[in-house]
Amino acid sequence: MRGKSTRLSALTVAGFAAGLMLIGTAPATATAQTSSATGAAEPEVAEPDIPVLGQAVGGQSAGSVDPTRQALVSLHGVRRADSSTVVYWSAGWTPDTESGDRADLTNTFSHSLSRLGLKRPHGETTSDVAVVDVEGMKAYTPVINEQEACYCSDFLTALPSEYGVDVEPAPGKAYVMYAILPELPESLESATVKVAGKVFTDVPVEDGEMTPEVDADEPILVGTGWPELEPSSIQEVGDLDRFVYSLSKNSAVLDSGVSNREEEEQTSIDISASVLFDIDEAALTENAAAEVRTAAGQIKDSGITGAITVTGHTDSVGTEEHNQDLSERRAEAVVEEITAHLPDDIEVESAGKGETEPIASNETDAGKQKNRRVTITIPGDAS
Amino acid sequence: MNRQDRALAAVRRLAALTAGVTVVLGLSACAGDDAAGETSGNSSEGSADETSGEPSDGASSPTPASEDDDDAPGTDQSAALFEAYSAPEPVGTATWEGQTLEVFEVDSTAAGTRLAFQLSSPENDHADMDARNWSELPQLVDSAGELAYQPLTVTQPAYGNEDEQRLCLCTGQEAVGSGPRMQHILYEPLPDGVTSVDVTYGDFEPVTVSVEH
Repeated sequence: MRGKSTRLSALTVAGFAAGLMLIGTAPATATAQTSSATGAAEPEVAEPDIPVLGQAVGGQSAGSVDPTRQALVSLHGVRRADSSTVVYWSAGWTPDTESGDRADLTNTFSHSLSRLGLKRPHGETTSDVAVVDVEGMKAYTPVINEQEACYCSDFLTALPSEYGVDVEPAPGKAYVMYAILPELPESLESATVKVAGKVFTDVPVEDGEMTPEVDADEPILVGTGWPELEPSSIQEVGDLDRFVYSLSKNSAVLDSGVSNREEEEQTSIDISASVLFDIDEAALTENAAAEVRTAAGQIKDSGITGAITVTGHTDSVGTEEHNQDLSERRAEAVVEEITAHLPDDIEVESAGKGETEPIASNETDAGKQKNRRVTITIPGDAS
Repeated sequence: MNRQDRALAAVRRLAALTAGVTVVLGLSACAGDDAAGETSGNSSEGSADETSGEPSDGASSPTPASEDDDDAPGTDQSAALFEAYSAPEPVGTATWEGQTLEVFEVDSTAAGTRLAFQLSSPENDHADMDARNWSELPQLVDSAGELAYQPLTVTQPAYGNEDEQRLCLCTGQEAVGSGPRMQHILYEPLPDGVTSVDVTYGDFEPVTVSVEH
């Protein structure tokens, strides 16, 4: 039986891999050899007879909760199937959990401010799944149909419920979840996966749905099978690119107001308006010159030639008209200063966007400060 | 933990390769056993499912497997799955006003850099966090490179009544409690030469940790 052979092979190779790891860590090797040489009894550790590609435990994301309330999230597979991608994972209360229902369980997954996927009435909390191709600068997320239903597990059917029970699902039981995503690039052999708020790197992308398949409309205890799906059904939704998001790499230059956002087709250098201008002013401050020189250095390091754009942005305080005007005047002030520090073959253009393109929440002071900026946009990857 | 993850992943890949090689070479010594196993093995596993492995809590029962390279035995593996998890140990800590920041890992590969950390508040079951936005989350500071790495983000387009928003690839928590609440954040891959970083977060003192590559 090939299935049996595979599992036996896995155990055999696991032993081999463990040996390799021990070779790489001398103290552990010594300990293992000593233990083996003295014949000390090794504690028997059960190994799950299923693929386990990553595990993490999390607590509830909000509110005052029972500190014993912990959920284990395990990743089992990222599979290509019928021009789509299926992510298989599981979740369940840890054996020590003393209280909590299935809704509490899903609340351990991820906070809404970091939860990927467009809003929808049901299944929202189990849709926080993404396969991330960092090199390709893309994140693939679950597909949603016109009825705003996610092609992913609905916790109402994926997790059991029994009225009056203190802990449900039962502690120490894990249930299978899934999500169907758009097709991944053929060249992608491994990826980073975000699932239920947990991040697992270097996850292999494999072919074919996981088997055996069982009814997807009932809770599935991990190990008893995997949900029977029709991955190709996402093609009916159309425009699947909507569910593939572009990544931004973000960094800040130390001891300055300059930060970088590297995206698929352009790199943006943000200079905080707080270090360039006084409040509601468009004249550069005495300290602004150093910040602009830092930004000019970043541009020259990129080696680009041609046109770059300097764009002013504001937060949402004040009227739209005022913010638009302020952003334009601030951009022009920076263009005048930075041009002197750049080679002649770089053309600098000016624009203002007012409050229309925030990069952080305008609900917090820190977010507003982030949004008050002048952005220098460089076409292409500047790294 | 991440090292364990990679080891597990490697084991799976190696296992798949081994299985593939086994099939291709058609190991004669095992062929007869395999052939026998396909019949008796499946049926015996099916019997086990129905007797000792009967799912509880309203879970589905497995259907007989038609493939011979199944990814699950058909029986509840929950106990073994929980047993397989090993809690990571902190590699650095800092405290501020009764709250504790524990850093467990900064692991960088070509697929990104994962920070694993948690906040706890032993004296308070519910302390609100100030940092709820991606730009306020922990940064990985490379002093030599004069850069502070911030979380990778995606821009989620406007949808319905929701404005366009920039989201981190992270756990996201809005409260600190007395119990552990592990969080992950994904950053871009760090340069190979970066062997340690300061993890900075709000008013906590920086926590210096080694970078696993």
